[in-house]
Amino acid sequence: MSESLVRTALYDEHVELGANIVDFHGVELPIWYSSISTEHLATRSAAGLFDVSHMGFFRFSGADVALWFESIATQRVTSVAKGRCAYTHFLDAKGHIIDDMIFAVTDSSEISATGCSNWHGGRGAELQGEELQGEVAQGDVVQGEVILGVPNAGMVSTLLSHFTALLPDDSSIVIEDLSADTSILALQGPASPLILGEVLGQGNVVHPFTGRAIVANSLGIGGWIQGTGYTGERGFEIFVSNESAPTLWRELLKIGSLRGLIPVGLGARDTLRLEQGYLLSGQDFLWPGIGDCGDPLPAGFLARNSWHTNVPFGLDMGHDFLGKTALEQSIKSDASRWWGVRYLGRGPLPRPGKIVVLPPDSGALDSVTPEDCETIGYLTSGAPSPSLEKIGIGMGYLRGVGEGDRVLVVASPRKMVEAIVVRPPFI
Amino acid sequence: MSEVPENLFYTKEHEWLRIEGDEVVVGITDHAQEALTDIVYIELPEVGEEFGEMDEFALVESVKSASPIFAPMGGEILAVNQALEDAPELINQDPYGAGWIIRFKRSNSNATEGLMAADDYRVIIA
Repeated sequence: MSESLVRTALYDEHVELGANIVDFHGVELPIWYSSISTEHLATRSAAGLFDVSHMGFFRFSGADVALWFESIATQRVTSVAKGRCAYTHFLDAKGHIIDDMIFAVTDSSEISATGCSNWHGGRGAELQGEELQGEVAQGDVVQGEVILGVPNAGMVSTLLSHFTALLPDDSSIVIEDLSADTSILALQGPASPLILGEVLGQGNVVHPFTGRAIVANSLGIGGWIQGTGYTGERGFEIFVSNESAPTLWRELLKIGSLRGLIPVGLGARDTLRLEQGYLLSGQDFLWPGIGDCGDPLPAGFLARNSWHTNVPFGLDMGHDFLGKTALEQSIKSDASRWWGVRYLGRGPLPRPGKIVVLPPDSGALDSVTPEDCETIGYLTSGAPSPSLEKIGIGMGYLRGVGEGDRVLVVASPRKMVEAIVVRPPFI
Repeated sequence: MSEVPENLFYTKEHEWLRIEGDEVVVGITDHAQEALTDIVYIELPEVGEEFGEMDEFALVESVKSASPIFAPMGGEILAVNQALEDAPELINQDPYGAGWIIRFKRSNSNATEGLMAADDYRVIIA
């Protein structure tokens, strides 16, 4: 491993647990401890514990911060009540997705209650470019409404620049990058409320898509907790200081192991999100392709509901936002839509970049070659599904097909595999 | 610690070879199956296919990724392990036995260049 790689505050814990460590966007993180399938199935049936400290942590504050945030987000931010969380995309002026984010709406008194001194006014973002320095908090205690956001690993500096360039001229809104000071643990799975209650007390067992300051607990750990995650299971993301992270990690594993909790690496995190049809930052954001948005979206297409609908979750066309005009145009002009495909047979697995074609009207599939077929798109994510006996599932941008249509995935130079078009989630 | 049997040859691509005269049986090492974990699919060549050294002649897929298996030397496929089509996990369970992948006839019966003995292979996976 090169010296420039970053280690999270939990690195030693991972090594002690025998993790296979990889370089993920410059951070040394476990890809698995036991195996991807074992960890995936444990998260679905009991619980999994993830170190997601590679993700960032931003705080936005100032007058009318929600209104400003809404102007750059696909989500209807002003409809998200205090104490709630929601999912959003951020688009550029061309309507392309820059990144996605789960954010929470809260206020300054709740931030003070996190008990993390460096989280309320202690220090601002550590920015690389001097041109950004003027926009950063200089020690003022934040007042009023606050938005907490969790940018993806590798996107922290890109998003910080993007947001900073869009700040109002009057300096009324402040962005702070708390990423380096914050460890994030994700506890996911049906047993997670029970485990969390046993470790941090019932008062911290927040409802899905709500967030709050961590309340007093026997570990004496402060921070922020929200009922979110990226596995599709009931779960929590817990934001604590780097100093507190190892204690919390060990206590969760110690108590949770009695309920089936095991540590889970990035490998299973990827298959868990894929089965739910959740997009992976970077990999799945290649085109505006915010899904099948030809249909009118229900009013207040929000928060919790978002997680149970077809992608695009977090898209509300009822407000103005950066990239909306271009997005509307692309919805009209581009026939490609976001779809899932599920294999109907065995074969080399669907992987990112694999081409999808339409089967010819006649002829045995065995004798068909990709050259005989019309290409309709490509996959941006794919893997065997551990929950579905390892059948191949994938997602990508396809044109001219609908739910239930048969397609062929050009799975290897020698083999095409028949698949059915589905709307994720796959399970 | 991964198992590295003495009586086999090894490649730096983590394949093992059992050389029986002109015939060679090839599979992936214990170290390789541990690194891949969760093998879920294998694409095998056809019997009778001919191939050159370093041609991709099989594909092993784990949950995470697809890994090509490169021919350690030129030859012709004599047999493939059909059992792997329904039970690719045999590679995880018994990489040097029931998890064998291909038996081929080598085109040059002296071609052992680039192959390692067990001791040398142990060094590179240490």
